Amino acid sequence: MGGTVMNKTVTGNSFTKGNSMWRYTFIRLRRNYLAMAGLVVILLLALTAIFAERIAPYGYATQDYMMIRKPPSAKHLLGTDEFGRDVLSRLIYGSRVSLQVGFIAVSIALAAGGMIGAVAGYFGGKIDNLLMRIMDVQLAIPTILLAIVISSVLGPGLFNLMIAVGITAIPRFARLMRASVLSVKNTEFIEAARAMGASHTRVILLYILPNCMAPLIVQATINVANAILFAATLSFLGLGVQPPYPEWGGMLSAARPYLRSNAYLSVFPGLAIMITIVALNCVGDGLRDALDPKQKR
Amino acid sequence: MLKYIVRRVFLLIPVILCVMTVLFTILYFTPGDPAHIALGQEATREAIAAFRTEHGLDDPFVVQLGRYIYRAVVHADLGYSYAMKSPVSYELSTRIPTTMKLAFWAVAFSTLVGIPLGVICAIRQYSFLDSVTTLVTLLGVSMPTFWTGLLLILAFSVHLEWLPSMGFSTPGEMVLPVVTLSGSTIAIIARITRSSMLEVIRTDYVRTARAKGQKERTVILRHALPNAMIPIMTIISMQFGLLLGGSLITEAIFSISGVGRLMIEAINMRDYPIIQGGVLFISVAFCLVNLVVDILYAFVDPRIHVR
Repeated sequence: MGGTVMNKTVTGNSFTKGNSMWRYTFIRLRRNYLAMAGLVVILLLALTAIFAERIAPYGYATQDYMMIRKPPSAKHLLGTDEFGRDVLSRLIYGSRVSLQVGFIAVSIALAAGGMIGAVAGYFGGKIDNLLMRIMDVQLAIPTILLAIVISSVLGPGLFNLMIAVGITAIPRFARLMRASVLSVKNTEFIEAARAMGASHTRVILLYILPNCMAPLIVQATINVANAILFAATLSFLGLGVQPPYPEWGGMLSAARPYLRSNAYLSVFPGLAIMITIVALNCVGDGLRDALDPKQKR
Repeated sequence: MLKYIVRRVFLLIPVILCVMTVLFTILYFTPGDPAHIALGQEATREAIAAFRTEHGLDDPFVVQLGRYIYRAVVHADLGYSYAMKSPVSYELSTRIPTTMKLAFWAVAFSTLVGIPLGVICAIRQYSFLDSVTTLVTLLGVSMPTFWTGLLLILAFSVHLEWLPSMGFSTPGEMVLPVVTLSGSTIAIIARITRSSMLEVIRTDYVRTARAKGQKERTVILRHALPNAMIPIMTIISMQFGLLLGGSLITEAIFSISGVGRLMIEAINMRDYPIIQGGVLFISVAFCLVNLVVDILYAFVDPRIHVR
């Protein structure tokens, strides 16, 4: 893995002007219909999340006691829940939680894991051994369980949810980063930078990191999907965002008792989760193919 | 070979000890006094002090950690569930068989469906079946387990009334939970099998086998598939961890009294010894599966030399 990583990053990024690797990646990505469709869906979702107040027909906690558990109609496009709240509006507000958790949790993991991996790979020796053994121990605990333990310890809430989901993804980024750092570390331009007197911090941040980003970005995209699934799972178990604020997994959990009488309540939130994940997976797969030199046409 | 296996088993010991330490530390520093949880909010100060002395909760952290590991390793005693008023190892042992049964059938089912599906897609690349499978597997990896479960209950229990939506003792009751839990694993196994087979099918020895005039069946099953197995086995062993985590959700949805449901009850009651024991059990099972798969590699691919 390390070898291929080095080839594409080093030749693409450092010796040509204007980040041409990313330009070519985007050109290749644009030919991939599935990935572009996924990107459009994610952009639309982001807009929905940002402008939730303007788009949502009702507030997320607005209750209408005359409209309790009514199936979809012209007034409530996706029906109403057990408190007479509009399901569509709640889904729209819920996109905020999912996207925030997805992106922020992965940013936490990317920053922490990337740093651990970079330090381990760059310095090697005892530090490397120590850090990677710690990562191995974490990998021995299945990720979803670790997320459950951490969030049951931290207690419910959006912020704690992000941390719990973020921590679980750290080892993957650390390992990936370490592998790419190892493949870049012994190249001439790093040696040159060191010879010119650059400090270790400067070498890692300015010379090594930019050359190791490609595999990490692919992993990050796929991990956002994972993080959203985890967040929904934790909310489904009652460990995530607390009511009345809507979260897709939490909405499904609340809909369970009404599975026999009001099936639509269990269908729409799940559909929202699935569409988001499908879109992210399409973009992730597309990015991977676009960055993979084997696939070059 | 035996030497390698023994060495790998010994290497597991520090990992498991570290997992125990990590879990113990996380839950030790959690706010909330176990004495309060066990005795209720109205307990007198004296009762709480007595409880803390009895269970050694006033000892320093290191002493408590050491005692926990010592008891777990020497006496297979994982502590005492304050909420259920019984030993953790007893509570776990009554539920482990159910969870193992669920996980075993899920792995078996997803392997038996996933590998043939992937092989067929690879043989008939770009056919209609291949496109449909690609689409279905994309949806499969994107569906949350709990939603798959709810939809299956909706279709097969509520509308068609073919299968029960609760329990896990009769074969009929086992169908929905196993399918729910295998859903995303089937998709992942099929994807990996397809791409791994596609790589192998283009190699020279497969062409040679065909040129010799061997039947297509033999070429695929005897020459191509075994050489495509390494990545498939890796993914199956990685999926096992996810499956054990997923059993938590599946057991909750289908009211199956396994380790997963026990842990969810424990989470709701803040019963930390049970959470600790449950996660430890699942982590150990996960490590053992990875170990077995590592050993199997050497059997499947003799080129992998055992060091």
